Amino acid sequence: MTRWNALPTLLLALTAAAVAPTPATAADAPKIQVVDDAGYDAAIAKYRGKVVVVDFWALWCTECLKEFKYTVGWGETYKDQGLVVVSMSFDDDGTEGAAGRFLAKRNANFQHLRSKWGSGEESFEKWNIPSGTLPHVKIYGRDGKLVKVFDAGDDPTAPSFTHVEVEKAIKAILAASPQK
Amino acid sequence: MSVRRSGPGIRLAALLLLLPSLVVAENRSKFNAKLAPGDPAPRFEKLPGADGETHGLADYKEAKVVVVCFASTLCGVVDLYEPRLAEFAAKYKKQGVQVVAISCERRGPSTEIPGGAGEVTTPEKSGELARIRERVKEHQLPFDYLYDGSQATGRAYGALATPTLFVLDGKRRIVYLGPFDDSIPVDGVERHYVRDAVEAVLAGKSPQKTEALARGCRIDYAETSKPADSGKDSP
Repeated sequence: MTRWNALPTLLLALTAAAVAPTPATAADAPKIQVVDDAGYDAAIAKYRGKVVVVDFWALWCTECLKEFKYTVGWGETYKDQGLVVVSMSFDDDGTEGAAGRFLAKRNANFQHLRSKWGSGEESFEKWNIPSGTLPHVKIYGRDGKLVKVFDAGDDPTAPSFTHVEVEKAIKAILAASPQK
Repeated sequence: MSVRRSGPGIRLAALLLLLPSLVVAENRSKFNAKLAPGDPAPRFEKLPGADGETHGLADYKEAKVVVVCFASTLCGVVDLYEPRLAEFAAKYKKQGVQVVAISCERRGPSTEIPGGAGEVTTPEKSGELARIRERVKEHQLPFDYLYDGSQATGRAYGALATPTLFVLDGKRRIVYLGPFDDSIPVDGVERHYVRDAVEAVLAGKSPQKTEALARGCRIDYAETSKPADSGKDSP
């Protein structure tokens, strides 16, 4: 029983250790803004005129941690073409330290949001993620409208989407609406 | 001759009449594209288990309730739920409740993120069955933990996330599908969906909550694995 109860803590510790071998100070850690759906919409609306990629992730989603570097990379590679990346976490309260260390380690110098409902069902409902799984990616056009969604639930019999398909979509959207 | 001619015609007419109801029968679940509460549970058979034996749904015919949990050894959310599921399985075993975990994991371990999944490979190369055996032994898990490298079971049950659970009654109909409870962090749990569904069946009642959105890691279905065609079969 003791070992079982310690497992989640062990998992968090392992994750934290894996993502931040050199502990970042609190000042280094990027700020994570807790939002509801209205706060999220307001944050996205600020980037009108840009193409926005939102990476939905969580510390409990090891696949998200593995893929996060691609999001950071897109933010750099396509910056001049008017691309902005934003991270949106479905982590729960009390995870700010570990999440901040992860983002600092990944040099994720962009806006970070976190759902006020954490990993709860409300998060998946509010942001319309029918698969119940992360990673999940939404891409918004320069007019602020949602143009592309990547979710495991799109086609349950097909292999999961990868960073390759997401990048292809980013390129296509940028090409279709060049920066003025 | 006339009888023979009308036979297929009548069958066709009956089929056409049935079609709308078959169409309506699709997507009756808010959360699952393949199954809905009330549906017969898809059969599975001859899946290798951690105990070195093979198991199928029909093997549990003595059980009053079967709880199927789609799992993976490479999912942090399954790790968080494992103690809860183990405690539940041990507690309800005496009351005739059989818990069966099934992994359809086709990935090997990640080289970057400890405890995470890497790239999709073959069932053999993924090493999942060996990890299942290790885990059951190390954590002394009191339930059957099976491996389905074909992923047919996961497809037949429409499972997208791990962990996703299905509570099957005595007739092996699905009476609940979704997460084990309402909170991934154990200290936030307020509603025990699986436990309540199982208690209802044991009391001869229908569960009040029949489905919820299972949240967790995605099951990475391989392109090569064939869709299951035994989705409507019942043991």
